[in-house]
Amino acid sequence: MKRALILSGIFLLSLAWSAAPARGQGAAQPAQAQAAQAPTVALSPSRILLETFYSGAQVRVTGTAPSGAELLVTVKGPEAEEELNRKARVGPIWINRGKVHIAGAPSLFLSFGTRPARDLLGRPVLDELQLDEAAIREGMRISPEEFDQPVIRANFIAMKKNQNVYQEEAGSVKLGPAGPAGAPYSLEFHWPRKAPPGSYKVEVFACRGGVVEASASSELVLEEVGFPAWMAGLARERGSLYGLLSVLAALLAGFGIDFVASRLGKKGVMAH
Amino acid sequence: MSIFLPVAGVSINLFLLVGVGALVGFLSGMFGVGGGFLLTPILMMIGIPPTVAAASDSCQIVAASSSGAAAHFRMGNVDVKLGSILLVGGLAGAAVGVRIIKALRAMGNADLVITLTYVVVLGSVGGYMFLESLQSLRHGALAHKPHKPGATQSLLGRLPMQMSFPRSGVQHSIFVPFVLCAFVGILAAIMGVGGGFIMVPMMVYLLRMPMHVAVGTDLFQILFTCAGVTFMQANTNHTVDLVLALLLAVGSSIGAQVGARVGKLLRGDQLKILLATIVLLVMVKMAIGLVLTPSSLLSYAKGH
Repeated sequence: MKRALILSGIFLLSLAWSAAPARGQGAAQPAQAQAAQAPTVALSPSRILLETFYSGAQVRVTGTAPSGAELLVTVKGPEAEEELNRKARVGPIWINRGKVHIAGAPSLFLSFGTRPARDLLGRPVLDELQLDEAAIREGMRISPEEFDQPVIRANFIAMKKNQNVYQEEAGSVKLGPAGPAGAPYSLEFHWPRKAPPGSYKVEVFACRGGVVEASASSELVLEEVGFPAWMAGLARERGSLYGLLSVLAALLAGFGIDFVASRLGKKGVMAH
Repeated sequence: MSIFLPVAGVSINLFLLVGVGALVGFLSGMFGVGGGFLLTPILMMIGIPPTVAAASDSCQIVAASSSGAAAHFRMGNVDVKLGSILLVGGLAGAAVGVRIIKALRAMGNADLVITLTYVVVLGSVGGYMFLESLQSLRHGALAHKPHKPGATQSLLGRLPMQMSFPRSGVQHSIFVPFVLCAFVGILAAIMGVGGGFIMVPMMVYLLRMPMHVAVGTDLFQILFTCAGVTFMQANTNHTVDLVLALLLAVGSSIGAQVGARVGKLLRGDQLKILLATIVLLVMVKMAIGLVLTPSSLLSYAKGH
């Protein structure tokens, strides 16, 4: 009897032992289910055309987020090394003294969240994925290294913000009530006029407990088309022909104006 | 309504550009000289990159001066002989000026030199005009003393290769108008201006030309000089924005017509002191910009 009790005890213990990893796996299953429930992303428009009468564009980002998660949406331009003049004071005036090369920073960085990025994600995650201006500031590479690094980093970010190509906006992502497929969200923002043509990556991060739970991305393309594309290409690639056309067009305009003014009986005398 | 400027790479309100052209054209029509020297800094203020503003301004001057030169030619106010010498000097100067700008851009100092040249030239011309017209206003007709040949005139008269210019009624060594216009050509290329506000006083005070012939001849040579500058800027620096230049030309042609009519309501001295005040205000604004701590210690190397 006693032996039977001991055997039963061992059996129950072994059952309990074998059950423990099963509970761990059971806890992982909902996490996997949540990971599978990645956010979706749709852009409207997904192509912005720089036409003759381009005046900027309004971009709308929509989709669904995992239930209970908060969102951070970023738009990044390609990284490119930038050559900049560095101003320094010489006597009473400010002049350009030397060039600075900055690499490792996106050409454009827009960040929108349900809350500020630093409240949604931990600093290590923000730094690793470059998800806020502080992370970009510290991540960029500056040469020559002897220049005042913190001042240049701060001025670079300030210059980009001044051009509106770096923006951080909290509370602009609107989350709707959660349903079986997740919670619908929407974001609307004005596309910066100074952003150059190119391809931009739009990423949506579902954040929970300071980490990225899941993410999705899409591409936004900005391209010159029609007359501006033709003219910019001509100016860049066939400078002499473009110069000749510019002079002829200006002469035609000038003599045309004089012709009209003289026909109207006015003196078409215009100073230069 | 906005328009995308293909070379400047920015989108700007179309009416703002035509309006800026009209404002400068109004001042040009009113005061008889100038326009370009005000336009480039205004374009920089509204967000056009400095090198594109200067180059496109030259293109705009081609349109404006061709119209003015055609009208003056019909009235017999163009000294083609003297104008041709001025033109050759101007083109030589413009070629040098474009090279200077290219070298300065490589060194990262182009924008600084454009600004400093503006400050010095605007300060000198504005200051001289202001004092001269103030004296005129105070003393009336007494201030207008006839010119006596001074040491400079005597020196110029002794130079070789003297030539007669019947339309202007003067005689000069061929080198005088050549060197004079080469200097203005360099300034035109660096500043993106026609140079009329320097050239016309020089033609009147140094070459002793009648005022109306000076204006007509100046327009004639400026047309060719700026055509040359436009071509060279487009070919070498790729900074001419034709869309921008044509919009400004439309505005300035309308403004010049209105300005010419308003100008007739004011006396010559009043006009000159008003222009001198505007020139000095622009100079002071730019000088302050050089001394004050800039909002950013970094700027784009290629006039982005």
